[in-house]
Amino acid sequence: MRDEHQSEPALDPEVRAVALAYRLCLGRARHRGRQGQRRGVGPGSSLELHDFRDYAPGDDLRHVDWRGYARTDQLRVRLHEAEVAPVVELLLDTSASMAVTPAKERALRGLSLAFAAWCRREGSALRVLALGGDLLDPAGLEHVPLAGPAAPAAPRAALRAGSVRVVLGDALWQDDPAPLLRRVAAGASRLVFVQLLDPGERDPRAHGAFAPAGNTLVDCESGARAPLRLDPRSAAVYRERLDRLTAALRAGVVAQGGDLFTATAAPLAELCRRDLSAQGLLELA
Amino acid sequence: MTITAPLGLLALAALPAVVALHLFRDRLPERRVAGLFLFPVTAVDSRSGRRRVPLVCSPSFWLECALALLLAAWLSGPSLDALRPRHLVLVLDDTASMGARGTSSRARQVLREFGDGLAAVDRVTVIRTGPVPTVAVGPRGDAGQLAAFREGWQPRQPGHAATSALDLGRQLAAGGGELWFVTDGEPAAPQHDLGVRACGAPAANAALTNVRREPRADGARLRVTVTARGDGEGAVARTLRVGDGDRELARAPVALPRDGAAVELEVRLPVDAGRLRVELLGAAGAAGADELAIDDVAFVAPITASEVAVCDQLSPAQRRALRLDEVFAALTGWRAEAAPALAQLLVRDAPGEVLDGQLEVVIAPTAGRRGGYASPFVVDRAHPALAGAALDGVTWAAGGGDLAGQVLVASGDKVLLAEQFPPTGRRLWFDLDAAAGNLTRAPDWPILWANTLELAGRDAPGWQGRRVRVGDEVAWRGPRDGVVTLRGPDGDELLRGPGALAAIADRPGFYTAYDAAGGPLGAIAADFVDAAESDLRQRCTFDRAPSATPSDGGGAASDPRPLRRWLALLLLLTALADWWYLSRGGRGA
Repeated sequence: MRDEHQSEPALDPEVRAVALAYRLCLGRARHRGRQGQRRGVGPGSSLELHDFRDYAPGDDLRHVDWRGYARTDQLRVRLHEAEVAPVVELLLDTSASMAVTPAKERALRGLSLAFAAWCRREGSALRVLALGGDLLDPAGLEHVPLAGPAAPAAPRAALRAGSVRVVLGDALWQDDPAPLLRRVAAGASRLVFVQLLDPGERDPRAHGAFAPAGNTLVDCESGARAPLRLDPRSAAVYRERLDRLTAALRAGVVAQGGDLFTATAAPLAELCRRDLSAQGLLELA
Repeated sequence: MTITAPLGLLALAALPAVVALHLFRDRLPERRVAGLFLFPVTAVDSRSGRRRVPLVCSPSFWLECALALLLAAWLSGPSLDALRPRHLVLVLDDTASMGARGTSSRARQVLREFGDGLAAVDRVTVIRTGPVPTVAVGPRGDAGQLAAFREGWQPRQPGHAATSALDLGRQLAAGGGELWFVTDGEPAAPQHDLGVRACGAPAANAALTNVRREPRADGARLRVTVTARGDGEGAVARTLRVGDGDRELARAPVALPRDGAAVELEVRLPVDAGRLRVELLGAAGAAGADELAIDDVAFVAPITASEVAVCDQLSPAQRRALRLDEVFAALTGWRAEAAPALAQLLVRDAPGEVLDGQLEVVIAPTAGRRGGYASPFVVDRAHPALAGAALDGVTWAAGGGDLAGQVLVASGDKVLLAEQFPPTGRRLWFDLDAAAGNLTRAPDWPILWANTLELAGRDAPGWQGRRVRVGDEVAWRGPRDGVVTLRGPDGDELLRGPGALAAIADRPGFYTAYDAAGGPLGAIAADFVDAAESDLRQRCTFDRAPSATPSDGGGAASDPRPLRRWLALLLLLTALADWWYLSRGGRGA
């Protein structure tokens, strides 16, 4: 038995806790990758029967279906499912909006590390790419600069075919994300979009971050400013627009065969339990 | 906030500054957001620099505007005077010369102009001059009251100083009021804090300066003195008319020199002549020819005999020693009265009961060794009992005791005659031994008794005096148990009650006393006699505005300090409210 703790780099206790408590729930899709614990696309060496084929010289005789030979007098070989550890490509939204609040940035970095930990535990190869940017070092996730492009853009580096692609971002894009979704969904064994928002972004009035007399809103990416007194009417308009944006995102993700998970920045354990586990992205290890 | 208060004007500049700060300063607390496009706002790209943003009328904005206004008000030395209604204080010369024909109409016109200049909220106070100034309208009456007063105003007072009325006017006008003096000539002394509306005009005027009814053995005579003063040539022609009710007793033309020289006329009166009305008419005999009417008429009441009731309670020997029978035989205006309670003069040899209004003369030496005192004596010549008495060459024999009371005659430290005031009435005590000395044989002895009789007569029932001048007091002394009504020349009731009654004769005519049943008890005449008021040569017309604000010199003037204190407090509270609001994260500059 492998000592998980010794092989992993020093993790934040919070990250290590969720890494041990959960594993990614990737569904019944077949993946490609090196040997692991997930169902692979082709035959493999797992205990699950995959198919039969005619015996060919050189086949391992241990896989010959002797009982079938006795009944049919034909030599056939049992093929077992392959068990792979899929390649996981974590596509990070590194725009400034992901650091609009310390809680949101902390959640982004915590989730990134948790994804890396989950991948390590399953033996999956992890590739971290910045949306609109280059390949990132998984070991440096804690210090990834959050100053990437504000518009939805695919990573500049090529994506691995058959990889599980996890997009982690807030998707607060004014532009249509459909081209991005098409790009990241192409050749992916599975597409997962985790929309991470700050509580104040979910419901600005409930969070109480706005002054009663009004605020000057400053867009953290464009620098545009606008005065606003957040009255109930303004808050209702905001929520309606956010719901419309999220619905459009969900439709775009689903259209590409993916799943959208929404998460609200919180301590990592709570975020995993309340949002990701409840929505089915994580399961108890 | 005018150019007279530049600091206040300067503080007003803070108002646009506050607006500009709120317009151009990014004063809202910033809130970084990821999806600005989700908010219902119009975003402004601020990367090119600070831009004007829509003015947000936050509580802080209003508080700071209020702060600027309050500061301006505080610095400008605020006063509520401008907001107060106008207060016009008119001191009206109430002397008789203001009733001259032309002057009176001009003065009424002046009052009308003042009234027309008053707004509905304005207030007016009219003070009539006089020995005691009176407030005729107000204080702080309205234009309607002024108009009502103007119609009924009749100036009839003799000359007097307007000083006290002007002082009262200054007190009432202090604190922003306007003080005007309506008169008919130049005021005695220039006064810069009051405006003057003079409405007199020089004119010739004749006046009755003295009318005297003299009893004679062959019938009464009426002696009339008339004068005239005025510019121009030739004598002033008038007609003197003497009437008794509707009966004309005499009518005579009079030519009066214009220099004021007196012309005396004598009119023989019939025996049955009653209340006389003496008038100066025009040359043609028409009334109203003269400029000033009040001094053209005089009233003369019938002469009524006044007797003092004398109750002599001395023994015949004492009376003889005092030679009283001889003295009283030479005096008139007295009668013998047996009942002491009904007498005005009591003559006794020892103090007794004295009622109110009675004079008791006690002639008795005090106890002790008697002695004689030779003149000269210390005499209180101001006392009416000793008027005209010299007491030269008199040897006064008196007792050895001492007399209490006010000393009237003394020799050294020996009091010979004293006046005492018991609880009621008065007492003259002669410390005199009639059997010795020579006082009773001296020429001063009858004089002393004549004075005593006159002194006692002062308290006799009836009118006190025969004639008075307008402005003087008419006094009636009656019994304490009888109600008397005093009526004025127009029949108006002035006073009603028992005992002594007195009222000011405010107009010429007969003042009559009536008993409880309405029967007349007697009349007294009041005439207007004032040569200075009758002289209209120096009257003039001019307007002069005040050059200073009236002030009584006390604390009644408008004091802006309380208002400034309130403003300062409000200023502080507003600043605190703004600070509190901003400290809570409110929007501010």
